[in-house]
Amino acid sequence: MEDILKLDQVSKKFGRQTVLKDVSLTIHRGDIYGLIGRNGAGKTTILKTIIRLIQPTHGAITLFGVSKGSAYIHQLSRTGSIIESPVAVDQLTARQNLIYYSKIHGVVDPSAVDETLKFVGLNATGKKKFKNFSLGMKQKMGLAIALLNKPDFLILDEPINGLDPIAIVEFRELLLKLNQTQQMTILISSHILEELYQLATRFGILNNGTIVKEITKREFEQQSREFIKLEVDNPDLATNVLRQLGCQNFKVINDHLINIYQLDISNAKITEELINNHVQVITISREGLNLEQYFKQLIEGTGDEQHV
Amino acid sequence: MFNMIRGDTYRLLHSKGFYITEFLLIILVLTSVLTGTLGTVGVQTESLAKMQDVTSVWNAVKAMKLMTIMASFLIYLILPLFIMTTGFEFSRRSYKNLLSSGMTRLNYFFSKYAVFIMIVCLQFILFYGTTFLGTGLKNGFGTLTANFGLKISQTILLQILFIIAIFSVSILVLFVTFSTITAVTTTIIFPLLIQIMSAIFNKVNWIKYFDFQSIIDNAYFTHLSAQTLTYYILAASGTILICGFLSIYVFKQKNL
Repeated sequence: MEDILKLDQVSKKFGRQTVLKDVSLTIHRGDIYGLIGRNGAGKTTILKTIIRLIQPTHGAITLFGVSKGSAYIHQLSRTGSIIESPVAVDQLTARQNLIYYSKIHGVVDPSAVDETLKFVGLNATGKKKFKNFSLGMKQKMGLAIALLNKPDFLILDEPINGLDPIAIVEFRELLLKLNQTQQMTILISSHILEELYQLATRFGILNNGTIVKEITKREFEQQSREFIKLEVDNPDLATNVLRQLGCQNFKVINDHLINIYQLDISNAKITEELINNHVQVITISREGLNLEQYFKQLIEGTGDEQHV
Repeated sequence: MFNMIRGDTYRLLHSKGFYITEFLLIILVLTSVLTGTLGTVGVQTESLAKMQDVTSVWNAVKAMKLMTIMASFLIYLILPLFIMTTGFEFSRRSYKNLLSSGMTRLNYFFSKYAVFIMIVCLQFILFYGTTFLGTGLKNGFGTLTANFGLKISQTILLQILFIIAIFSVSILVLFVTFSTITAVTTTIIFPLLIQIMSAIFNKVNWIKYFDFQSIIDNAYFTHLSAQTLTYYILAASGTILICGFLSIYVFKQKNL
């Protein structure tokens, strides 16, 4: 599969402060890559280094196979991006803004402006100026400007922050449509993990300026499959009972907790057998690891105990 | 570069601020030429004093000559358009839209500089065009001689050079600070500061060559020796080049 973007050991220092440390990640054609991290983890800095608003201190960034000089800048014309907040000319309407940017980009297709406005759903905003747009409309405007060049690769920095639930769904549908109908590769950063989970096909988890894990959605779903969480007073005895029931796939987590990954035995049957064998059942429930829990586990596993 | 000029022309033509600025320019010029009143800005008033006994009716040629004294007003009428096309790019950070999509910082700088020069030329054309037509239609055009044509052309070119020199300092401040307010303040304060310094340190001869605002107003009526004129041109060109190089250097190094 073709690599659209490759970061190899990228570091960035501001003075003495290291913001990115040996970041390596790869984005393939057609990916929707979710960059996950807390506020201040370095997500925006990574995106800014990719589009050369910031120069990395060390490491190499390869975009569409090019990593250096003006050829790299030229490849940026194949990307579209919204970094931090979407910006446009305050005094102009949505249509006027797109005409303005199409003139600067030298877009010659006269239908590009109207097509793009229609695609993002801003074709009926009339004479309303950008400064009077809602946040959702501004995000769509930012997306429209980014799409004007018909990019192959879209880079979005926290695009759903502050949007209302309906605007979030609309924005998600737009991105999915771009990915599915135009095979557009998308890099999207967010700390709203539930939303990102519905969108992304791969995830990169960033903590303290370092990528601590890259995982595909399929791999994550395999790892986060459902299990039975069993809390008992005597786990040693309980594991014997589970074996007698034919259950082999379980894990003792601590002095009271056992996770059972074999789901062909009902909770009722397990409870009944444990009680019959004088094991006190404190709780028994079906659980599943979501992206947020996975992220939290991973971050805590790296020695960072702060809450998400 | 040409695409940026096309884009920013479109942007100006769709902004109320552009029409308000141009309306004010036309009103200012027409009020002066039709009432025969001259005004000037800054602390230097020698040229104005010299012209105040002029009481005869102004025809187009005479008005063109006299209005050269008011050309430094154009600093304040270029400023809003400069802010609209370049200042807001930095205060709103909309430069990101262009720099992230394949435009180099050098190209961005020169494109915005080209837009600024276009604005300067536009304001000069409107200023002298309104002067010429306003008085010409009311009081007649007068005698257009080759000598007048040459001298007024030289004057306007010098005035354009000195205005670009003043703004090159503002552009440097804008690219260093990204602050529109600081750039506007610099545009207004810098010429006044130089005039004050020139008055205080009158034994330091070279300071006067950086008093671009005074030379803008006096360009037509003050006779300068070839050597003095060369020094003025060198000071202005040097300021433009040094501020330009520094702006590019700072902009290319900056984390945006």
